[in-house]
Amino acid sequence: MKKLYGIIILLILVGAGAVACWWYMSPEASRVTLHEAKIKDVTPMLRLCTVEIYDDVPVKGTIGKRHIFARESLNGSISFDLENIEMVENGDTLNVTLPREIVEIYESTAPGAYQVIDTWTDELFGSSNFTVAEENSIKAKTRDDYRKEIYRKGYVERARKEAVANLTAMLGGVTGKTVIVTDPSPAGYME
Amino acid sequence: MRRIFNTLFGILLAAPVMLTSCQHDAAGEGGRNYLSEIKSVNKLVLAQMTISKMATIDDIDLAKADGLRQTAAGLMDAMKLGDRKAAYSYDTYLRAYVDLSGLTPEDVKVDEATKTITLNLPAVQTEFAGRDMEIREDHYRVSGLRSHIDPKERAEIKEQMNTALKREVEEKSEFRNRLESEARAKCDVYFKSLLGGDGYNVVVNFK
Repeated sequence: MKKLYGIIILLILVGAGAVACWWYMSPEASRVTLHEAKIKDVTPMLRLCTVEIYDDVPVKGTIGKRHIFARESLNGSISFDLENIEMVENGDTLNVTLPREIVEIYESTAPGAYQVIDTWTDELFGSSNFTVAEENSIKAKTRDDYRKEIYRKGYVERARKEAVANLTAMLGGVTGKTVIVTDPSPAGYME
Repeated sequence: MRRIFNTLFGILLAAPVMLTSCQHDAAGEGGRNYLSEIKSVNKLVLAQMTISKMATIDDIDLAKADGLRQTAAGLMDAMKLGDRKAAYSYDTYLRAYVDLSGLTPEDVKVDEATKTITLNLPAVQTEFAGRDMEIREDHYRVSGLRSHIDPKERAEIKEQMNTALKREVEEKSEFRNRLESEARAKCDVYFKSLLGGDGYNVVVNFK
């Protein structure tokens, strides 16, 4: 009888081990299917980028009685369109007017760039869920606020100063002419 | 003796702090472990590629389940009341640029005899400019007793999409090659129009 129990326990252990092995060796169960990346478009451009910004910002929003708090890493850049630049040649001198700056703010592609930390509701039995449209509107507001901060902190002013120096050096070096770059709006063109 | 002991003790206490601060600096430079950073650059951005990535969420089909884990998950899904299907997408931007800080006076050569200007520009490089902050919801159908797809789950899906997209760009040279050739063409046209005015023949090379 004891021998029979022993055999049964052994069989159970072997069976459990086999199932565990099968479990760990089988492919992971994922309900998410990732589709192949597609090239949407390729845009040729000619922009002088003088400042790059990396920042972590809190994303906070409230819609009705629901709240969201997240953390987001941003990549920003300040550049100048050289294709529509105003250039006047006067003998051996090239007079250039610095154009309006282009401020771009994207979410970083670094790992963990967007992390939702908490969503909650003030209602006792209400849902704390946010739709995509609601979440997008909160993120858009974060971007708009950050854009204002870029101007307020003087990053645009710094970018424009660098652009004057870089353009003078580049155009002067390449054309061999005396280049005078004028900046009609040193603080930038905040909308 | 006591003073020596105190000094040694002080060094021992300070050592971990000093080592930690060194590590932090190193990570900040190489690994971009930043919180906030503003950097002066001198880049001539020549082309930008928009890459779209899509992900779908659906229950695991028992007929297509492979292995124990998927079969178990498929069985669980089959028992749930209602459907849970969605599709999300967003765009990522890859850009090509020339780092003008690497340009030296020796890179511009003028041959008056043949009326030729030779420009040796730094190599075209590519980098991720970033991705859309917003995500597009291309489809959403959650019915019955199924749970909604919440912001946390969407953020996790976006993270998976981002990892897969970066791997694809790394593995398939088509992405970078197309962008780089577009950038070189743009650069060629720009400098030829800028310098070719006085009847000079302009040759643009990349290092």
